[in-house]
Amino acid sequence: MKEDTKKSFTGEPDAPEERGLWMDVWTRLCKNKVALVGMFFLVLLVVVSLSTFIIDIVTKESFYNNYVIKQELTQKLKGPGAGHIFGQDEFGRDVFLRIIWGTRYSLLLGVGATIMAAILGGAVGAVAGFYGKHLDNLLMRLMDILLSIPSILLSIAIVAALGTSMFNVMLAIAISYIPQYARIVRAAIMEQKSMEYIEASRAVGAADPRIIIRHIIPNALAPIIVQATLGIAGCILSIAGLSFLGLGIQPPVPEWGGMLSNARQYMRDAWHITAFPGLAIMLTILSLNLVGDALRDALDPKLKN
Amino acid sequence: MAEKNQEILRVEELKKYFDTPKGKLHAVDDVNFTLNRGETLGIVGESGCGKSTMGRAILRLHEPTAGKVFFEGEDILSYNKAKMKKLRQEMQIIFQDPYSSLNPRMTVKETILEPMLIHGIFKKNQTEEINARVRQIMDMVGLSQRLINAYPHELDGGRRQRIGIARALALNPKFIVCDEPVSALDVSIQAQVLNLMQDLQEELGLTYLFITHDLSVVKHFSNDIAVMYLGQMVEKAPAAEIFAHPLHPYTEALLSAIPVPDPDVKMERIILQGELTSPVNPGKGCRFAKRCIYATEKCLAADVPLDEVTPGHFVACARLAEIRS
Repeated sequence: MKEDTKKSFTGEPDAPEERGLWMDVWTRLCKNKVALVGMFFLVLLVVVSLSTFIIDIVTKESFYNNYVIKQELTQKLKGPGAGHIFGQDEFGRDVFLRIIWGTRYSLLLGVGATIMAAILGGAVGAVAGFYGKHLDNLLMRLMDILLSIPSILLSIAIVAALGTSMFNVMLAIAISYIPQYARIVRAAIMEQKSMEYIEASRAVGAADPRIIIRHIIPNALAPIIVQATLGIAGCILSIAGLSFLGLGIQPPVPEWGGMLSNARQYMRDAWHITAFPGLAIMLTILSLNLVGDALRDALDPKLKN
Repeated sequence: MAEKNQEILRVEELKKYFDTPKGKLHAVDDVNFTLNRGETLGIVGESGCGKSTMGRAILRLHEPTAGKVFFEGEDILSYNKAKMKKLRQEMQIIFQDPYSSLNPRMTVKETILEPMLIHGIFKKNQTEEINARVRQIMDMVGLSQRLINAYPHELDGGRRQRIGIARALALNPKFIVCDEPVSALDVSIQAQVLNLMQDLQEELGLTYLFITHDLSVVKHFSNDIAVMYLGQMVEKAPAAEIFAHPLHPYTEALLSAIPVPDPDVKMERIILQGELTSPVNPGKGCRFAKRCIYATEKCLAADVPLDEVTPGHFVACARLAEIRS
């Protein structure tokens, strides 16, 4: 038999360190300065919204009642100044505090709706992509039907039918985003399924679960993660849109889109009550897009250096 | 080591049909051959003639429609899942495309290690034993040790193909289906990889089923060469014999297409005319008849069996006697 088992390995330069897949992604992500700024802003938002929860719990919502939704009609539409750095709105409420308290709705509902859509759509797409043929046809035609209805109309119809609660808003947004995820996941799985390395692992005796977990998912995950990051931004916009139409979060709850909607009539008299909520939405979505973009690059092992 | 000239693989009436909207596509139709331990059988033929499908059907990566495959005397098509998994240690495959045959998210080490983990040769925590074994295999296929944690995209085609070979060797197989292992590589690398495969064959006593469309590659590499046309074997003979005395008209045409690296040689190519017979629901008779210059009605009257003309030389041609006289 072979006798080369005792060859010495000296004289070789050292092999590079063993690195984990996700560590690599993180290192590459950190090299992207713009993405770091976006991530910093998102972390800030999360911290801010968490602290509002804590404040609410500690003060038993008295702070919320006394400052955030407290009306001061004599001071209505007062511009930014000492005490109220973003000014006061049409009922004299503090715009800054309302924006701070509004982060939770945008983030929570945006992330929640995205996760819901990704899981439901992902499951549909995975089944369609993996089993193919008639089931694939049936599921994807259903998705096409869903896709043919304008998403905002679909959300409006669902909220109108189910009533305006936070969960219903989330559900309405999620349903209108399901087809996107179904398509992406299906395409990713079908692409991976046809690769020769899948056949190679079949040839060495790998069972289906191993093939799915070790080969298909890691390679199909990247487009889904990227789509989800960008999708959160879309969801936040949709929620803001629904609130703007009066179907989302109901006043006096300080949701950014709702604030914009209410402020619209006073736009000519007071710039600050539309500008600041609009700015908040814009910055959040910009950060999400930047991070999503950077993630797409970081997840591609071919782009590393 | 087991002695040579002992049968390791026997394929009997192997058939693989695919269902298409137009009918049954006869990818592999009634193929018979035997292969001895330590030898190489080269399978040649044009694109789409069923070479790769046959290789995969033997390994049961495509489940054959009918026929029998005997590996070391046992009918492996009757094996259940567990027995088949065990058998996969004995028979492996090397793929054509070194780019899509490696998982882009697995390092060289992970790729080579995976088969051994699947078969429980190592446990995940046996780091030292694993590293030693992976390094040993890398050494065998001529991969530098420093590449152990590299990702496939960092390497060139030749190195990637070496990883593919290493993965196939990880389980110490006896029989390897080589599915056009060098046709995606450039010529200088082709030679390196072929030499490597030849060395490994001698060292480890491997048996190859070498599928290719490149005749010059297979000429120096194989003991026997089999020519396939539209799912059927039309000629099979020892390598030297088939190059010296091609008997089937298709083999003749195929050999005349090998380029000669000499500008003064005037090549006499046999240009095949006529339409390719569709592999979907092919009729009776010789499948090459439509393009064959010797074809008569006799060729389409009945299926043509693969007959032994001289010892070890098999040909399937209805008019062989008339053409060669």
